Amino acid sequence: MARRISIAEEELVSLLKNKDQRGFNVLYNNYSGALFGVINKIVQSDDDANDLLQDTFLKIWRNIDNYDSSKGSIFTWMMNIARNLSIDKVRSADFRDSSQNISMEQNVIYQVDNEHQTLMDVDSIGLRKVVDNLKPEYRQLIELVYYQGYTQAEVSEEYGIPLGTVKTRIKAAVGSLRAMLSGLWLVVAFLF
Amino acid sequence: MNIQEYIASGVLESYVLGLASEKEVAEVEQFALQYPEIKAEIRAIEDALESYAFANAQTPPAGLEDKIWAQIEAESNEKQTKVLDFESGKEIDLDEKKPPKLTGFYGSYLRIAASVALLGSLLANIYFASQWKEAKSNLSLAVNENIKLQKDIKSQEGMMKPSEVSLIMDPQIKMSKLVGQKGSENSTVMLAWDTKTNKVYVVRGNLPTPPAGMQYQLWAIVDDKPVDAGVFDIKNNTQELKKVPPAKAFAVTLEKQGGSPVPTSDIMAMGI
Repeated sequence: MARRISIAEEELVSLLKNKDQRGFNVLYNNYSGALFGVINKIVQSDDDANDLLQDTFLKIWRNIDNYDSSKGSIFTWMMNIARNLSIDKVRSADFRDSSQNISMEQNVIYQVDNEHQTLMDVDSIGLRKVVDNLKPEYRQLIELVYYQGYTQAEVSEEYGIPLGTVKTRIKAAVGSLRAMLSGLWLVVAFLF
Repeated sequence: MNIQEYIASGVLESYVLGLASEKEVAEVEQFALQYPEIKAEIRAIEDALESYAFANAQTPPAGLEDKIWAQIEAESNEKQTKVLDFESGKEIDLDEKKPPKLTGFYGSYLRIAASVALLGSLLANIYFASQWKEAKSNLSLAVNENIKLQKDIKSQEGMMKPSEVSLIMDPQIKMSKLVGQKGSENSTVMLAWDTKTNKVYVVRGNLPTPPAGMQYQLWAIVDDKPVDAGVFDIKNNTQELKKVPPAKAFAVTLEKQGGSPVPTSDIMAMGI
């Protein structure tokens, strides 16, 4: 869709499996922004996010042979690596110690900055507008599950909804996102 | 199994989001192999979530890419040289291949002589049998190798040439991927647009072969109007089409050979 694909996924994977430097360059150019966005949202600290992005790419490079394209897209696989490393970091003891030193005020300023997306990827602005139309509760749900790695039980507790309803609610949120993205395509299709 | 009900259950969303149980994961993976609709649905969910992540992308600090590459190189230099088996790519432990030491044999000369003769004959039998077996397996290995090489050559036909890779890695090139519409959802067309010269290239047009007398035509959407960007064929090579102004989106239609001044067919693929 709107990602900056410079090369078909299969070819990227085969370059990576051959440990070809061009594979790394393509990987970094295409995916570092999205992965960095995910990591930053979880750890909310520039220094940690830089380290974690580095760890993520090293892990992708080392473990590319474990990636199985029949089980999902390369991005889903990489996103899981980035997310798990970031969640581990946030839950680790040294992270909790250091984040306690940040004052409330600093935290708020950081978050406001983050909301303004000062670092945002220029290429993703059009897409951002589409995603901004998502209902706040759907956006929050996607962020909890997709970014923060909440389990269904944790979502159920957070929202006070029965466990059985969580799956339906998540499906609705993803469905709404999909509808908005295909709305973008309809605009294009209307011209013909 | 009712596929629509399965899709409606929300289990595929759980799968992509990493929320599914081990049992569900195994089941989804099994069904994805069996039913193309389920595989397509998983891909659509992945695409939507991927777009969400891209909408929230942030540019990492400059210089981080070089730093990470330096780290990767440093790591691969640290590793010792290993002997790899050419066929399997697995590491060979050189110590393991030493033959076991033979132990002696005692007894009277006659017994020794008789036994040596018998042993000799047995060994010869074993030797010839194993030779025959080896020859047989070598033959089948050679046949397999031949098949594999033919497959390799086939798959290489679709690989990009170095000149194509350098085109798409050029910083002044903007890439976009068009996705197939109704009837050819798995098709993709990769485009490269030169931000300096305004030339547009079809890097890979992976669409069904058009009927005789027909050709695919690319349209650039500029000021909400389709602008003819030229026709292209389905082949494993990059094709240079026309110059077009910066476009909001691209679309592909199927037109008569040589193209049409205005689009006349349904959209076969589109993207931004």
